[in-house]
Parts: sequence; C-alpha cells; structure tokens
Amino acid sequence: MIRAQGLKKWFGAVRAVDGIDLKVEPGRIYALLGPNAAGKTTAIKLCVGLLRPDAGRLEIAGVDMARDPLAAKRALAYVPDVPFLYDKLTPKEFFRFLVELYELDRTEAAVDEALWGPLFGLEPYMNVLMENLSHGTRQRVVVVGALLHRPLAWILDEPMVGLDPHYAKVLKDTMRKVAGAGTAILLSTHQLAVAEEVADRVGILHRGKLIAELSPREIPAVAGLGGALEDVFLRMTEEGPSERGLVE
Amino acid sequence: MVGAPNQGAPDGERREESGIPRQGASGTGLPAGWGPRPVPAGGRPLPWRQEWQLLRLKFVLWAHALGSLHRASKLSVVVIGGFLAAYLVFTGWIFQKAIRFADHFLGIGSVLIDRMFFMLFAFLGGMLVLSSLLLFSTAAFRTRETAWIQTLPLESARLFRWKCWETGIVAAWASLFLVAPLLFTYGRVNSLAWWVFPLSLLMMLPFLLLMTQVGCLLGLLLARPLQSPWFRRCLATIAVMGVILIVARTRPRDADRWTTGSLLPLVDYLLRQTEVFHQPWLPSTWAGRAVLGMGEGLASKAFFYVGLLVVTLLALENLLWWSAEWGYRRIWLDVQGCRSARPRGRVGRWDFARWAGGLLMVLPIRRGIRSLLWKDVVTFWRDPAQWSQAVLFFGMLGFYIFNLRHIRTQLDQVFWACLVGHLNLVSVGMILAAMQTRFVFPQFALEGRRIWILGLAPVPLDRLIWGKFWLSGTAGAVITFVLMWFSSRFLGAGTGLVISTTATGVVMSYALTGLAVGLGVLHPTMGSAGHFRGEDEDPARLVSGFGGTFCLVASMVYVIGVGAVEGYGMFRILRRGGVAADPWTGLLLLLWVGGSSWLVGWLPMRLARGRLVRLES
Repeated sequence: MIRAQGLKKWFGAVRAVDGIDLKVEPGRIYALLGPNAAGKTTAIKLCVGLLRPDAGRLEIAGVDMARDPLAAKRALAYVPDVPFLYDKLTPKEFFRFLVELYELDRTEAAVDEALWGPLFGLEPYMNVLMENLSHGTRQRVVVVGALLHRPLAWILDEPMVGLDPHYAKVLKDTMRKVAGAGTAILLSTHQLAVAEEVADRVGILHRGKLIAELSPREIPAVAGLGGALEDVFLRMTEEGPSERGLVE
Repeated sequence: MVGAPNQGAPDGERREESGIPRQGASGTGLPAGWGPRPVPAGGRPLPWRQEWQLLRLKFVLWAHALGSLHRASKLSVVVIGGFLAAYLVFTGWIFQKAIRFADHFLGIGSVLIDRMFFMLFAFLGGMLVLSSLLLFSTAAFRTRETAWIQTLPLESARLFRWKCWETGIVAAWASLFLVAPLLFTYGRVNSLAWWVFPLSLLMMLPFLLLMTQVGCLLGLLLARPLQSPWFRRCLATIAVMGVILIVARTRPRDADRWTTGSLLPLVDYLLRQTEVFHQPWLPSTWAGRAVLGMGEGLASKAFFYVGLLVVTLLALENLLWWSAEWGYRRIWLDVQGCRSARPRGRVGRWDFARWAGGLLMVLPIRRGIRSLLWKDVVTFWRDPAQWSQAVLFFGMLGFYIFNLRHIRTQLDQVFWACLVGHLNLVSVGMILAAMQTRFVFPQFALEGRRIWILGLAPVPLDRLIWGKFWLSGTAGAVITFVLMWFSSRFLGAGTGLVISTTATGVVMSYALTGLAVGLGVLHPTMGSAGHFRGEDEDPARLVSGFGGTFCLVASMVYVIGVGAVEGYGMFRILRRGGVAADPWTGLLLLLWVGGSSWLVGWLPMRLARGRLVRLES
C-alpha cells in the first residue's frame, strides 16, 4: 500500500506539492494526471524518498518512509522518467547486481528474469552493453529490473515515454497483472488514454493540489453525458499559463 | 475536489468486470505463487555484503571499460599510452636532475631534499583535500547514480562510505601516478634496492587516503551551507580578500645581497621559510619521514610513521562512519530540495544576457551568427562550474605573473630574460591549451541533441564553427595579451622581447582555438559514416575521450615547440644585438611560429569545415 497524508513541498514561494492525500490499496493502480508543471514529478520524488516533504507523512507497505527508509525501499520499486543505467553493464549483469543488492533468492530471481525478460523483448540484448541500447530498450530494462524483487509498491514516473506502441501495451498489461497479484501501483502520466485504460483511480493534480479523484466509472458523470476523461481534465485545469512551466 | 472522497477504496465493481481478482496471481497470467514479496522483518543487511556488491559492480564496470580498449581506435590507445609514458620518463628525468643538483648543494643537500619532500607532500596533501572535496561533492550529491541508489534498499551510511572510498581510490590513484617518478628517482639516486620503490608507493597510500577522506568529510559538512547563495558569496569574498592581502603583503627580498655575498643567509632564510612544512603534527611530514626513512635505510622509522598514518586514517574512518549515520541522508535530501528549487530563480532585470546581447551588437557580423555567439556566451556565463575553473587557473597564473616584478633585478642578462620570458609564454600557452581543450573542444559536441536547432537554422554549419573560432580565440587572445604584456614588463624585458612574446601568445591563442574547434567537430560528434552521434551532454566525458586527449597532447607539443624554438632564436638575436644584426634568424623564427601556428590552427578547421559541408550537402 502507498499512503500519503498531507504531503507538502515548497520551493521558496512556489508550492510544488500542496497537501496531497492519497492512498493506493494493494492490487490497485492509481494514476496521477496533471498538466505540465503541475507537480507530478515532485510528488513522485516525495513518494520514493528522493525529496523530503516539508510536511506530511508517507507510508510504503505500512512503513513510514521518514522513520525506516530502508524497509520502505525494500518494498518499493521505482521507474523514473529518465532512468539511470550503468553504460558499461549488460542487462544481465544489471539484473544480477539488483538480485544481490536486494538479497533475493537466485533461483526465484532467475525465474522472474525468464518471465519478464522475453515479455519485454530483452532476450537479444541481455549481453549487450547498456551504452549500445536505444532509449526504449533501456526503459524496458529498468521496468524489468524494478519487478525482480516483486515489489509491494511500484511507482512509475511517465513510464510510457520512449516505448513503442507494442511495448507500451505490454507495460500496461504488466501493470494490470502485477496489480492483480497484489502490488499497489502509482503512476504519473500526462497521457489521458493511459490513465483511463489502466487506472482504478485517477487523481488530477493541478498547481500542486489534488483537485479531483475519480474512478473511471465516475468520469462520464462528471464530464457530462458521454464525456471522457479528457473533458474532465481540460475543464479542471483550464486557466491562464501563470506559473506553468516552473515546476514539474 | 471533484469525485468520490479520497478514501482510496478500490473500485471493486470494475475490478470484477475486468476479471482481475483482488489478490493473488491466479488469472493474471503470472505463474502460480507470483506475488509481491513481504518486507522481511528486522532487517539491516549483513555487514559488508552491500559494499561487496558495489565493489563487484565497479569491477565489472572497469573490466568492461578495459575490455572495450581493444575496440577503441589504435591511434587513441597509442596517443594516450604515449602521453602517459612520456610523462613518466620526462618527470623522472627532471626529478633526477633536481635531486642530483640539490644533493651536491653546499653540503646541505640532504636537508634541502628533506624540505623539498615535506613541501611536496604538504602541497600534494592540500591538493588532494581540495580535489576530493570536489569529487566527493559531485559523486555523493549530484550524480544520477547516487539518486538512483537512494531508491534501493542500501543504507545511506553505507552509500556514503562507498562514495568516500570511491573518491579516495580515484584521487589516490592519480596522486600515486604523479609522485611515482619522484619516488623511483629518489631510490635510484640513493642506489636503493628495487623493491624499495613499490614499498614506498605502498607506504604513500595511507597518507593519500587520509587526505582524501578529510576532503570527503569537508564535502559532507559543506554540502548544505554551499547551497546557500549567501554562504557562497561569503566564501568568494573571503577568497578575494585573501588574494588581495597576500598580494599586498608580498615584498621583494634583498636578492642582491644573497647573490653577491655568502650563501648562508639565503640557506638560513629558505630553511626558516619552509619550517612550516616540517611541523611534527602534519600528516605530510609523517609521509615524508616514512619515505625518507626508507631512503636512509631506517625501516623501523619508516614503519613507525606509516603506522601513525594508518591509525589516524582509521580514527578518521570512525568519525566518517559516525557522521554518515548521523546525517548523510538528511543532508542529501536537503541538497536535493535546494537543487530542485534552484531553477525557479528567474532571470533578473540586470542579467548579463542583456549586456552580452548589447556588446555583440557592435560586431559587424550576420544576425544568425551573432545569435549563436550570444547563446554561447550566455550559457557559459550561467554555468559557474564552467567558468570558475578558468578563473582559478588564470587567476593563479596572474598571481604568479604579478609577483614577477620582484625578480627583475636578476634578469639583466639576455639569457635569463629570454629563458624566463619564454617560460612564461609556455606557461600561459599550457593553461590556454588546457582551457581550450576543456571548454572549446566539447562545444560543438555539446550541441548534441540541440543540433536540430542549428542544423535547421538558415546558417551554414561551417560559419557556425568560424563564429566559435573567432569568439573563443579572441577571448583567449585578450587574456593572453594582458598576461604576456604584464609579465614581460614586470621582467623588465626589452621592447623586442615584449613584442615577440606577446604577439606569439596572441597567435598561439588563435592556433589553439582552431585546433580545439576543428578536432571538436572531427572527432567526438561524428560517427564513422559521418553522422552525428551527438548524444553526450557531459563536457568532462567528451574531453576525457580520444579527441580531447589528442587535442590536449597536440596543443602541448605545439606550445612547447613554439616556446622552445622562439626562446632559443630570440636569445641568438638579442645576443648579437637585435634583428638588424641577424635578420635570417628573425625570418626563420617568424616562419616557424607563423607556419606551425597556421598548420595547427587552420588545418583542423579546414578539415572540420569540409566535413560539415559534406554533411549538409
């Protein structure tokens, strides 16, 4: 479970995240939607412990991130918007590093690698140095790496960027499967279709505030008869550019 | 807030519709038993296990880096290998000359050599502290690798310790390489057994690591305050005031008395001035005594001082561990918060960009080129990490040149005037070579992903590189002109020497710029098929590649070649009474400086231009 209570992060006078409360139950997918500079990436960084909140509390799988970050991170997997990978490692070596670092059972990890690797089309690249892989392939390596320790909470920041339609579909299916197995998933995206397709709940973030939370079932009612998430999103975030572009 | 209250309640109905159960893997397409792993109870990882994994990771990375050598260009390997070998041989030769000279100096050779060692180790220690501080600050707080590792279940204290060791190893390795020729030569001059050399290197390690760990500790303590502009301004003010104070207090010594009378007052003065490097509480003194002890055959003395270094290192390690547990993650999070906040700073009304735009307006160049030059100037100005290094190097050089005014009394002979004047020229040229390689060489490659802006702009790419050439060359030429003019005037050199060294410095600036711009286009940005790779955004990485190394080596060879030949030529001319008395040497000199500069600066530009024209056609 991922639970944020009253999360706030200010950068000087700018309220990047302004009192977010959200809860993602095990087995559920929560999509954080927002226009550019709404504070999505800041919110995600707060959730994975890469920024310290000015106020509020964050729990991952029941563990307080501030009190016991090590235990919280054991339960967590993170796919950043611009993933970091070691250029001079192959995917196989990278996965092995993660298996050892998380102190996983090697046999189980090998089974998982054999499960996710082919699904994400990594077989031909397992022994190729990462520096020679395309952006999309590197993104797939990060996704598979994140799944190796079977996280209780999986947080993804703009995960579809760089993926072709085939692997974007594979990732969406994987998110559903993994959530189905009991993992809580929080993803940020600005692609309405992705949110509409995979999420059980959609939170709309605007100027650091969570201005709406909907389930896909509620969307037509909120948007008007026959409306779509796009209508809801545009209506709620429609205003002058003002601070847009400063916070992401 | 629109929609249902935020209770996080799952939308059960929809779940049932989609056929995905609440828990468990059945029906999800995953193997039976697949499910999220519960967080293990308790939980600190086994001691050293995670460090071992990180070490293993680094070994694999190094192995791949070494393995990729055979795929690298043979020329690249030869140039880099040759450069390293030449450094070892050349510095070994210089040290041998210096030690032999000092050894036979008025019967006090051993005292002088001792002091030289203590001074060298003290400066080496100081440099190591500073370089480790910078390396550690980058590695521990600014890299994407560290940010990524912070999301993994690795204790922050262990990550901190790992970064300290990594910094220590990198900095100590480089320092060992620097001092190896000295230790080898010292052993050779003292006819010591061969194994003393590797043992001395080993004995240096605790000292080098100790200094690097001091740098890391300072890096940790300063990381948070350095985020404050107020603190940074204070530091800069103190540094400037310190420099002013030193310059104001520097007084010339009565050199004539020493050179004409007994040398004893000079020796006494030198020993008193260097007493500070001989303090018994300085780790550099312990390191010096350990190495000198080995040289004198006093192994027990040497091992005593090595033991002292090891014990101090271990005590510092303890302090570092405690500091890491106390605050690394806290400080890291603070730094990330400050860094995330920084881009929100708006550009002020009096920003330099407006001034730069106005200044460039006076240049009689096309608007497109002016716009590109403006972009280069402004982006350079807004990245203090770039220009602060240039300020540091040229500032030190300026400080040195400012002090030349105190030694003019000894330069009344033509030989010394020519020698010191051209050594200055070579010093300025060397720093210029380093600066042009560091800043100008990667400029075109840094356009990288932005090449679409330039590639689609209605400005031919070859004009772009000429724009960069004139801008960087002129900036370097102005600095060189000021430094060379003042150094020659301070030395009291004659008009002929002042004009020749200053003019050569200006020509050198353009030649080195041409080389850097040309090679910057020819090597790192273009694949073998002539396509832009343009993916690297890290200037340091670009510079440390083959193209950067080749550029630096070629620049240095050019600077030394021009400085040495011109120095000898000018000495010949001035000894004979001027150019009128020896016009042929003057002409040959002009041809040599002009021809070599033209070749070094023009040829790479020409080749680069050809490559760009082919690319656009």
